[in-house]
Amino acid sequence: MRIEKNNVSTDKKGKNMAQKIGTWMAIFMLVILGSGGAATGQPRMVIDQAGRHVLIPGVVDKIVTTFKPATLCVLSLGLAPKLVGVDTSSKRDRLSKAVFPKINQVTGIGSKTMGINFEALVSQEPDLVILYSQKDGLQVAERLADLNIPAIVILPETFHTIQLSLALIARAVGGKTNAAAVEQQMDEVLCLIRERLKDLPQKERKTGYFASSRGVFSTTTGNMIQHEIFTTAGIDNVSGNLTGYFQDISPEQLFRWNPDLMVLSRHMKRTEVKRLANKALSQVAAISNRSVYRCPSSLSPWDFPSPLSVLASLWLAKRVYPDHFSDIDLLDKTNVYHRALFGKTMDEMGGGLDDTIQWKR
Amino acid sequence: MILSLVLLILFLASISMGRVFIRGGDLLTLVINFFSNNETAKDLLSRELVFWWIRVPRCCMAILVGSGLAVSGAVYQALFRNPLVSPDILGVSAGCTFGAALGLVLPFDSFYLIHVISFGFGLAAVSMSVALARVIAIKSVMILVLAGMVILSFFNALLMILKYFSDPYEQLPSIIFWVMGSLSRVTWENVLIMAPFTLLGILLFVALGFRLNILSLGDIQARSLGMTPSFFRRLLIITSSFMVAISVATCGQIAWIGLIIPHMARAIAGPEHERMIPMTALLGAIFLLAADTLARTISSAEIPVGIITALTGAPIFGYLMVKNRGTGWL
Repeated sequence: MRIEKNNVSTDKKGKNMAQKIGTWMAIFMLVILGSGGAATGQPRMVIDQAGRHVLIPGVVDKIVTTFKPATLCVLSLGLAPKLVGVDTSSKRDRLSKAVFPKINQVTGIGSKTMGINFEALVSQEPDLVILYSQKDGLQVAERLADLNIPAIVILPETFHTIQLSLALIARAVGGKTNAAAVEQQMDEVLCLIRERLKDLPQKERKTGYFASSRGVFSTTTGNMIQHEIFTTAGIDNVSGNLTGYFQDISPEQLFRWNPDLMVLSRHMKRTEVKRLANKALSQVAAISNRSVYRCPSSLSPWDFPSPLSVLASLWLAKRVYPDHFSDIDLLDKTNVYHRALFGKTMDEMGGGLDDTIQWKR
Repeated sequence: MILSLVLLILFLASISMGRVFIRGGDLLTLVINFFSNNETAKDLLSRELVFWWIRVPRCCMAILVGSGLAVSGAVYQALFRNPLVSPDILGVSAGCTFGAALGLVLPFDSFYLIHVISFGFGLAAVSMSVALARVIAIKSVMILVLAGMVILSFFNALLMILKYFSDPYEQLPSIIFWVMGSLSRVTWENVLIMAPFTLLGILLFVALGFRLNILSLGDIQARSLGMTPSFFRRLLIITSSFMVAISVATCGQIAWIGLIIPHMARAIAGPEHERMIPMTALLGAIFLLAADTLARTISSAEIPVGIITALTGAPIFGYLMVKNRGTGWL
């Protein structure tokens, strides 16, 4: 049994190492191959995360993003002044407003959930549109290609693919971006967590449950970023065997899983949080131990595919295994991270962790 | 009598099944402890909570919602003398859903507010459907259905507007979850709110069964028999709409029950409402209890109960339409 565990551990390490090397190789190739064209505004070809070949004809001065992770990637790359259109929800996002106050004046072009206003998007005459892969993302990309508007599809669902998304955007935009600094910050945080938890015995590993913004009984699957946030933080996600997008479960299933801790989506409504005080759930380990947290931060949710997601793993690992991170000042780390990505600390932008929940009925 | 027995057996089977396995002996202990006020052993404590605080209230709610929706459908069909109407088709469910969604996005965040707004819009929807059909003034079975579809589309459009303008990360997910329909969030508090209204509503309908028979003959016959049709019509519409609203506000939209169950009950008990209403209530309870038991036990991810009611309801209704073709049913 011990040998099997060691093998699993070695496999994981090998996989992590391979992923890391793969990411850096991809970034290296993208930068080297594209540097000539991008720097001079020459035509260049990129392959997006849907496998589409997209020709970028010249300098990219006007960017449109169609969903929040794309907007956050663009902001972290220091490309905010190039935004001429954003998903409507990003116009209200506290972090986006703090980093780029002029986002209020940028045209809102709809959202992934309720649909893109194609005419509003085209009217901005963008040099680059960044799209999602779900729903109508690919169709919109093809329609834009017919109008000679370059559109790339990104798929930021894991830390690895977030890094690839950042590299792809940087390559498509060309010129100087913050890509290397963001990659470095993400890797530093991930390395720190892995280093601190490398000797964590299997029997001490905790189990966790993530509740989505839909409610306490809606959870993440093994295909989503929240799953990776858990596994990176040394926590076994009880719903990791589920597949697809958010899945609903019965309260009994929650009992059966009996997780050691629960993380609630930043966006969960207050009425839903109140359900945790229900007597029926009082014997679930996470609830009886009061190990239920709301994912930080008050500025922008970390339980969301963006360069900030790695901070969720660090926060969670420190919460669950405090002895392994006793010398780490999370707020300090977070401030450094935000400054590297956005030029301002989280404190300066008026944000905080805000990860506790009210247990009163 | 047989159906009551079926419901009882199904209820017992349903409370014995779930994602948390509870042995027969433990179940018996939990029931005995509950009625004799004995303290439950520590190792049984979590199972006690699953059983008494999650599974039993949920099964009770399935019975209440199933019977309430089915009986409301039967009353609508009698009042409008139309076998094709139901709370879904007249737009009542859509109105209630819009009201509940509106309650969710309003800043007060109150459970009771959601119920009140849901009821208000449900009642508005059925009134608008009836008013539109009267304005068209053609006495065809299909006109009321078409008017209902207009109102249903109108409230669905309002719901879409609400979804469009709601925050996609904070408000929209709760609206979508609500609209899908589920009994997973049920608590004893919900059951205690729902039970008196549903039971009183069913009792009222049974008590007024004879008058429903007369109303289903039309207003002229009702007046000639000394009834005041407009009073009873309003009373019955308000009561049945309230029963739908309270179901929607508690469990979201659960379709098909209000349409097909009255037809099944009519086929078994005949058209007299004194017998047909209790039969409808029993069948509705059995149908939703069975559907919900399947929804929560099949896999670790819960299947939306609306999928099961639609998958079974649609073919049954199709069969009834084929079976009754040429009989003046449509």
